Amino acid sequence: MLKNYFKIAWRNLLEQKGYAIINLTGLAVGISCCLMILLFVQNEMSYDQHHPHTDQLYRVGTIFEIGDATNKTGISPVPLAPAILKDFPEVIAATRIYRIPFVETNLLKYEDRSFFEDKGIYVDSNFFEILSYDFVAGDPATALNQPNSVVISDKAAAKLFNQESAIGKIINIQHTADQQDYKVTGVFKTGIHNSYLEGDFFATINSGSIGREYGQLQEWGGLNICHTFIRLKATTSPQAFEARLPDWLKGYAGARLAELGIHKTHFLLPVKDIYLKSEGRNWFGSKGNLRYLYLLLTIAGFVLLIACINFINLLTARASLRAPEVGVRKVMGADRKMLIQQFMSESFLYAALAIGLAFLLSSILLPYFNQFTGKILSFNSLSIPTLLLYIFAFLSITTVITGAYPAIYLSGFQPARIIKDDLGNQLSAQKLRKFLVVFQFIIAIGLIQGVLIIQEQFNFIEKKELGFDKSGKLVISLNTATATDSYELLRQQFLKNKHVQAVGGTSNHPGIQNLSDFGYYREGQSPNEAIYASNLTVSPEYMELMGFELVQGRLFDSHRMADTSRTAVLTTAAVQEMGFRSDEVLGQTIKLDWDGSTHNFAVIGVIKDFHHGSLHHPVSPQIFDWSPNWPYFYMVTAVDTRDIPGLLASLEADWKTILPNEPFQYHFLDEQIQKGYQSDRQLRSLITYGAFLAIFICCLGLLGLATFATDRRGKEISIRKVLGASIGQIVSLLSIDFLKLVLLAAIISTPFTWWIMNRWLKNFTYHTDVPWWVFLVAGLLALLITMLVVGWQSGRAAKRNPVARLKNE
Amino acid sequence: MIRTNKLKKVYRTEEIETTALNEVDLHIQPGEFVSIMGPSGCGKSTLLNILGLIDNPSGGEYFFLDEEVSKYSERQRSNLRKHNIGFIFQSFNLIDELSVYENVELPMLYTKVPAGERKKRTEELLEKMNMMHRKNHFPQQLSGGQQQRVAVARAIVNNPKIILADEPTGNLDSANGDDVMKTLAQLNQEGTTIIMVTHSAYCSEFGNRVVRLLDGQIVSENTIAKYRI
Repeated sequence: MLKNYFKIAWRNLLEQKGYAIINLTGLAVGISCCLMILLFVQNEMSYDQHHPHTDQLYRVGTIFEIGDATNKTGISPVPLAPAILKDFPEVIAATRIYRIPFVETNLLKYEDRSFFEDKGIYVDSNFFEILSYDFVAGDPATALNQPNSVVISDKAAAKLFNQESAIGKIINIQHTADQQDYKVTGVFKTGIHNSYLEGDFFATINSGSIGREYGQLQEWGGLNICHTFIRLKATTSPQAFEARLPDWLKGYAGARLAELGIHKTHFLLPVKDIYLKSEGRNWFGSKGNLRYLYLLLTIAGFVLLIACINFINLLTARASLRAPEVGVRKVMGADRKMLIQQFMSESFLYAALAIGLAFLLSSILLPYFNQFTGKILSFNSLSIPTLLLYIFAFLSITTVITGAYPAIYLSGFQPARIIKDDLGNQLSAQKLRKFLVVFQFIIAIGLIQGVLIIQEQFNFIEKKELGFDKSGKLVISLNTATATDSYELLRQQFLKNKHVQAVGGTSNHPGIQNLSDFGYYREGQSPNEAIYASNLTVSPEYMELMGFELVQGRLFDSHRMADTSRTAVLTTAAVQEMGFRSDEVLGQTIKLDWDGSTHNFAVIGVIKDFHHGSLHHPVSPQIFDWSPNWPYFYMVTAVDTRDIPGLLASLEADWKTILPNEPFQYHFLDEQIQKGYQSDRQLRSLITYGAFLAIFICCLGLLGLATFATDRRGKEISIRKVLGASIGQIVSLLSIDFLKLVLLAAIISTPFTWWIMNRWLKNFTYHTDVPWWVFLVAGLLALLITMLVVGWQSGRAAKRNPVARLKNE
Repeated sequence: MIRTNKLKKVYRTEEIETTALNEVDLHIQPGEFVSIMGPSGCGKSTLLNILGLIDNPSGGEYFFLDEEVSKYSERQRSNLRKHNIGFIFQSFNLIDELSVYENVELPMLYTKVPAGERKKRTEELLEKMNMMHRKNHFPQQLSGGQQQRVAVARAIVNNPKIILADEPTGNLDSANGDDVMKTLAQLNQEGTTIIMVTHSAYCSEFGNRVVRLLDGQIVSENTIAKYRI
């Protein structure tokens, strides 16, 4: 029986090639879209699943309570790990990774080779007992036992030693705080397992005086420079354990926290959830986005659904062609169940063929998709059971969605009426078809509207005044102590360069997250009344070349040495936050406690607020000082960008004259600022692709329906032509029904898109309003596309010789 | 074998009500060959569809093999139909996507006849109908007479107790029509009950009783003493 079903389905497919191509193309595109996205989602969900005892591993994070708001972070203070291990028998092991303040990158040197690695992680010696990496040389259990040991990635090993064995080699690692020699005691392979913490190297913190100092800090209040990982006993409930932490913390840190005015508590986050579910920054590590995964799955699901709808629409539209067969089968004894089985088999055949095509299509498209996602996804990475599961899932989902309704619908025909050729309203299903076409276009038009609104927000970001001049600024990073010490020499050298107009130094610049928050308080206030503001140590030249807008007073004056270390320039937000009246702020003293002493600064100027971060966030209070004893980590240069290759080559040459052994690292300020919108740009691309696919498949469906409609109305078209109708009149006659549906879809999608996109725009503190014309443009675009598709098909029908058709009738 | 009692069929639309059959009482014994005649629209095909269990009456009773079936569900009717009734139509109603062989085999798929038996019976019948040489052809590749021979083979492949034929020769020339009528008469001789709707007086003479319908009612019933073979 099944054979008979497939046979007839196959013959039908061959006979109706046009419709089969439309159905198969739509389904194959929809399924391949889903396949690639599933590969991506599966990859995103595989992070940190490979560690032994991964279900028992947690990161101990901190929740800071600031007023009514809470800030959930992954950080923790240094003494937490040994204390938690000592006090709780449920904790089997604890280990830490450290972020040494002001260190952004590390210079690795071996003989004459040197290069920077950003993900240099300083860790406790037992780190590899808890988190697992794929060692290809060395023993993870003992690799970091000795001071000044380092385990490096295979990529770093290849760069440092080429083909030579890495084990036992001594390398030098330098950053802005220190430099030390390390012995390579292990090499791990990257790219086998996904981990959020993808280090270039793991060095023991127990190295050199600075490392040892940080490793033994006893501060519980500030200096949260660790991420702490623990392994709980398998029988321990993490919730119950977490509930005991507030009281435990009070015992160690209650007094200190009260003194600092800090309210905080600790929480556990499973290590396997860090990649997708952590809030705040993951040091060194990468972070996924659960919301985007849902969005991706939704878009893929919609694309597949649109393709399935095409199948349903075309099959039900052409039901009259299948009716005689249904009638005969019923008369021969087929009951409804058997007919449902038959039509489901037909859908199954289409689904199976579409899956085959989808795998082929995905293999072709995967390299481009990988480029887009930055991953190396491949079907080879799937195990046979997973692959079978994918195939089974797509077969069942597609078969059921495409097959169920047409099967129920077609099998319900009354044979007596089919035989009498009296199908009348039985074959209508037109309302459903119209509803489904409207549904398809609601999605497609909604996606187009979404793309246009996102683009509008990008235009807004482009045009928004940031409070400084971002153009023509090249930033040179000073990533080692040698480089920061050579600031003045480098500045003098660069100033001789014909491409360079000005050079300034700064501890941080817009587009780079500033972790240097300090508590500032006014004369007469106590330290626990301090407000937190970002501190920037800058040179007078930096303030000038950035083009900050002065509101009151003056900027630092390079000729007044009295300005150094004793004066401050505040942003308007900082003035308000500290509670100064704008007419009284100049000359006031603000205070900062650091390193056991109080530092006083006289306010000499106020500048207009500027956007240090992206427009997602409100402007934050910023306080500048000019302290030549503090290092500048960035040199910002105002440059002539007409000859960028020439500019870069000459600056690198200048750099090499001062620092011949250190790589020259630079970025353009405007490009760095753009990086703050990377995930928004990804979203834009994603929705653009989604919109394109949705429209493409919708058009396939329209083409099919239009072809059917012109075939069905062939006699009417011919008679109208004979009676004198023009081609234009016939085209509009045939197109108007479709255009009405698309117009309705455009109207319905508008409030949905408006609501969803308004929510998205609220992610930005500064955003454009949803412009009304977006809905008009998206609607017109959809109507235009419909007119082209349907008009083309109707035009062909209208041009046919009417006599031929009338003769046949 | 078949008995109807005040059988009624009414078609209703929003505006009008049409009575297709009005209190039809009909009795058919096993082994009879009954021809139903009458002008177009008199209810012949409606009666045949109800007798063939592909349509339900609006009122009255219908006894098929001594069972009252007028209230049967579609599933019950289908079950009864596939084991007991064979159909032959004026327009042949072969499935275009199936070959000659597959069309004949089709009813046996629904009655779950084992594959070996299916093959044997299909081939036997195709031989008998002289269509074996065309078994892999599709309906569009056959002449009208050939198509109807295939349709007859399909109708009898499950050895039905009764064959319902709706104008079986309506689309055929006289030679092919004659062949089909002779086949039906032959089947009747072998014991199959046949009910045939026809406009042709000539064809009705192959049967042994003629029932005449007018405006949904039986107006006469004549027995033909010596029918044509």
